[in-house]
Amino acid sequence: MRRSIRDRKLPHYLKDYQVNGSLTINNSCQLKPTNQIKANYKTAYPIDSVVSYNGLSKEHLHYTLTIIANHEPQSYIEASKTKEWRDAMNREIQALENNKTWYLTNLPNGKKPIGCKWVFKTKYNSDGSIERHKARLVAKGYSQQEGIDYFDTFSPMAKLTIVRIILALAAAKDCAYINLMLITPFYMEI
Amino acid sequence: MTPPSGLKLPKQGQVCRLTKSLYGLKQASRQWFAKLSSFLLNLGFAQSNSNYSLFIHKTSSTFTALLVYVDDIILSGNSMEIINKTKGTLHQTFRIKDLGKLKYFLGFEISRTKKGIHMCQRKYALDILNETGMTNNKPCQTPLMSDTKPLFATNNTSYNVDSYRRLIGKLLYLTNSRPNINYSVHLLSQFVQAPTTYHHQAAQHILRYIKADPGRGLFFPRDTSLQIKGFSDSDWATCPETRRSITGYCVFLGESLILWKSKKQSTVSRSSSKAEYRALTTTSCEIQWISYILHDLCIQLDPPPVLYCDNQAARHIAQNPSFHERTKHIDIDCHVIRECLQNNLFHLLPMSSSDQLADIFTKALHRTNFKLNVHKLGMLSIHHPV
Repeated sequence: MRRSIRDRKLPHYLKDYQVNGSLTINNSCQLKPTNQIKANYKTAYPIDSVVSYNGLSKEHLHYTLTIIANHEPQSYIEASKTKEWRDAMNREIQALENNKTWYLTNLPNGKKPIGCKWVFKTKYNSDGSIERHKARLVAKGYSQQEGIDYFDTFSPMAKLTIVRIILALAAAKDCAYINLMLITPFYMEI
Repeated sequence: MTPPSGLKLPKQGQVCRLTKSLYGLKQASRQWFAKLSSFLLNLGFAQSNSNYSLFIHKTSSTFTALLVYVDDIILSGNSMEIINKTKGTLHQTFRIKDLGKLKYFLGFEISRTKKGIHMCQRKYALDILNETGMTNNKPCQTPLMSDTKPLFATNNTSYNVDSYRRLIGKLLYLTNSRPNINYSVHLLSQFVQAPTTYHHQAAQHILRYIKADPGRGLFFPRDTSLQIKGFSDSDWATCPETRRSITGYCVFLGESLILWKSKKQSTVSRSSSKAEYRALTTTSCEIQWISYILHDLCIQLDPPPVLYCDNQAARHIAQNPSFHERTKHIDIDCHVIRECLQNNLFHLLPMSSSDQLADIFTKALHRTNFKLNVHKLGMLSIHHPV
């Protein structure tokens, strides 16, 4: 569909307002669109006309906003520029060495090493504040060959149907439910 | 393994010889699960046969269920004492972190009110919209374009295969809390092999529908019975290429929707009642599975499960164990449902086609019908503008 290429200008009566469908937080932690006027400059269909956080409780609002506002480095080079991430990587290397996960050696002839990479994640508390920066070293397991590098695999993944059943039951029976997460990286004998 | 970037090496050209398993290795998850499950079995938990990642601990008055998703664990039960005790023992062996009440699990946002539990994937939906640059597009009211025939037409203008596949993969995960886009994603995922511009447009149409309400999700109400209700439906010979029919079903636990699917059947059916009969069989297997899980979770199946079907002929084939001239060729495994009915595992009940809830999983509905159906599935949004 062809769209008009005419230059669009903001109407005069809006020149004192900030328009573009952006959101601001005022002191009472309540979200509202900066302009209540329907007119919109660049965005024809701003997202805040379809999502609103007004109905949420204060606690839930904080939590909701935090999980969409984050930036995590994608590569080692990007992460090594920030102190928090460097510390996180040092901690991880320290933990791996304390566990004696590997020893350094020369590569045997005719073998190819498998690769590894860093994964960076920001972890949050349940109220939305940042809990810690987490760096984890992962092996690029996709280059492993069955029968040579490994034998059996299995992933303990719950069916999402079961998650829904448990939630539906918890709602109907007033059960308590909590979420635990194992933070020790699992190192086991190969 | 090649040494990680950031590790100081005494000598160049060395590699790391792994003595222990690391994240990302193929065998890592299996070894992890073996360790965890043997630990839980020692604690007195029993592993459910219907799903290996579900562990159950019961005494005369208390009941605790533990669900494992790799390294995420949900503990649920009616006694806070047992939950805390289990948490304590887990903490001694593995280092665990208590995330408190379930709020964010595998990308699902979960919130609890006095009326029930709401579950949605708002952040995931917004991320998809951001990535595809669809945040500014006009929202629309149904996920599919009215005309689905051109999807099957073969024209040569092919489209960027990688981005289409990536998008379909993401939409597939999004269907886990949004049964309303299930049929449309099912339809589009048939073309990941060779997508054309028309398929891309259709995918964008789904995204525009998602944009209309990114926070929409499933709601599990508090005041509800715990009866299993299944709805089974099929559409006859919809696929113009293979003339196969589509099975669609959904299963409710009381008022809460827990399971749904739409799938093209594996063989061609000569009549609509045979297609419906096949759909009935698939649904009955699912109902059996759910009732096994509920049995493991110590839930009384009272009243017994019911299965609704709007096709009279299919119901008759299932209920009367007589031999018909025209049902000779129906495969033996389709008669699973007869055995279930003879053993009184569930009741097969008639319903009017207008009340059929599984309709939404077998065809592209018109806007008004679609809205009504979505509402009946128990989907709502807590993020909607007032």
